[in-house]
Amino acid sequence: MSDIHTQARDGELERRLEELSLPENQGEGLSQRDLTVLTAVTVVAPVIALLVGWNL
Amino acid sequence: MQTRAVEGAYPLRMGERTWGPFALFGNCASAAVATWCFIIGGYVSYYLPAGKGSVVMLAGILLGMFLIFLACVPMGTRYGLEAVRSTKPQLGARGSYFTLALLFFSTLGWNTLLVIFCGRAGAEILIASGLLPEAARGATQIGVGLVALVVVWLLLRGGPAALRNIGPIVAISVLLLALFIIGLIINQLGWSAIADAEPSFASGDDLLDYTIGVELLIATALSWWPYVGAMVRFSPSTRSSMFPVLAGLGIAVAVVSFIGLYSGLAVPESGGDPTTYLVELGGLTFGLPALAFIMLANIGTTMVGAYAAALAFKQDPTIDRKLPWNVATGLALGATALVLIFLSTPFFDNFGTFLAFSGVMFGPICGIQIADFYLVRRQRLDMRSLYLDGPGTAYWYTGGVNLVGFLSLAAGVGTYFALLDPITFEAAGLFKYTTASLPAAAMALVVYLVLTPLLNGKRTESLAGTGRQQGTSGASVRGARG
Repeated sequence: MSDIHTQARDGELERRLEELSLPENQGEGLSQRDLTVLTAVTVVAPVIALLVGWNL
Repeated sequence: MQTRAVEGAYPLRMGERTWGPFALFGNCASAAVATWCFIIGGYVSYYLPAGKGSVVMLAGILLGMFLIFLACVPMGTRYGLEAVRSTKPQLGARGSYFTLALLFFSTLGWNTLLVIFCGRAGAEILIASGLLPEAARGATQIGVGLVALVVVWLLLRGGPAALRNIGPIVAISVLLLALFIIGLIINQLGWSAIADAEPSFASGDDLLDYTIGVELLIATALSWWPYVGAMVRFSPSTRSSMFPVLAGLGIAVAVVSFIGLYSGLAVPESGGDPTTYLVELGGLTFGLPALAFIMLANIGTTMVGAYAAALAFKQDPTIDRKLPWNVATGLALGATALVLIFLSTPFFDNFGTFLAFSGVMFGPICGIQIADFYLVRRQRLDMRSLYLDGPGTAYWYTGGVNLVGFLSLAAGVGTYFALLDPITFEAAGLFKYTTASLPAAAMALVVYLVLTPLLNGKRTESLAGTGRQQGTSGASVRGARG
């Protein structure tokens, strides 16, 4: 019984790996535009805030 | 099978990634907003006044979020990876057990702190309202903490669906309560008392104090490393995850930490925790909102922490087969219960060191992940080797360990220690211009980039250079588990 379950699980994992190895079935990664926005919000803005805050 | 997938054993199909921006923001805020915000704000209040402290907290946490986001989110949304599995390419199939241990101890630490806070707040209210005598304080603290753990375990029986549904409710409730408490503090103590208060442990070197504040908040952001992957794996896109993650783990934390900053400045003996003095000022009328905040926020965060730890346990196929979901969450929470009962006081007293060590370890981990995912592999991973281990798979390296990853981590950690002692906060001269976490991450990144072609050249070329990313190893499910 345990072998049957193990085989079923392995089969399911195999099917998912097969399917998700195709780029069209994967999620979105980081684009150049995302990186630009991220850098503006989490690097440029905080550095400016720190420079302004220093004079408070 | 779908239940097994979302509980960690299998990679997720797109149709199983059901968290929209609101659920993701809710869970990020629910995970991050907790009473540690009081401690973080309290620490900043040792070094900085209200104005500078507020700016530093917002800016510092966003700087840390840059590293965390790059290291965790795109890899999580593209491949549906949680934290531990996402380190297989950098540390090796067996080397990733190192991050499993790190994640376990990190979430154990945070969860313990939170249930200690729950217990202390519950005891404070029960004693202040006359329901229990002072003599019962110690036992009540432990009892309330244990009840909180049982509640979390019961809630987690619903798996990630429970998180998706409960997280946003908890987040909205705690953010509203936090704004109410900030208003209450300003109203009761007076803004001028807060704004004019001097930090109690300022060094006299303004730039050093300023940078210590920034460092503390960067370390706070880095300490989300164990949590992020567990949440963003349910989101299908990096772009749609960006603002929920930055707002939930970054801005919300900074704003709620203002409570700790203002409390620590106006009432230094509070250490940032407003519960006691709010009860003294206004009895239960003021104490109950604080108690509600602590209970809701800490239970919400402990849920995500225990969920991340249980998920991490189940990434190993052998453990996954033997460990039902409820037992995995029980193990994660049981360890917290043991520390709560036997070690709560020493743990609570050394929280600052624990926080600092988050910066020590997670900064360099982010560094090697960024180097590997973007610069070495160009955002392409071998899906099969992420889930299957054994000689011949892409992330097996030497005996399952990537020496380059560990050497790079060591270089990053060494850099951190050269700049800042995380226990005494003694800093090298350069620290006040650079912080410690940022150079530590940068050093790990550079060393990884330099050593990879030297030690792993052929292996990496075969994956990234030819653009092959899928099924390169040729391993099968049954054959590759070694």
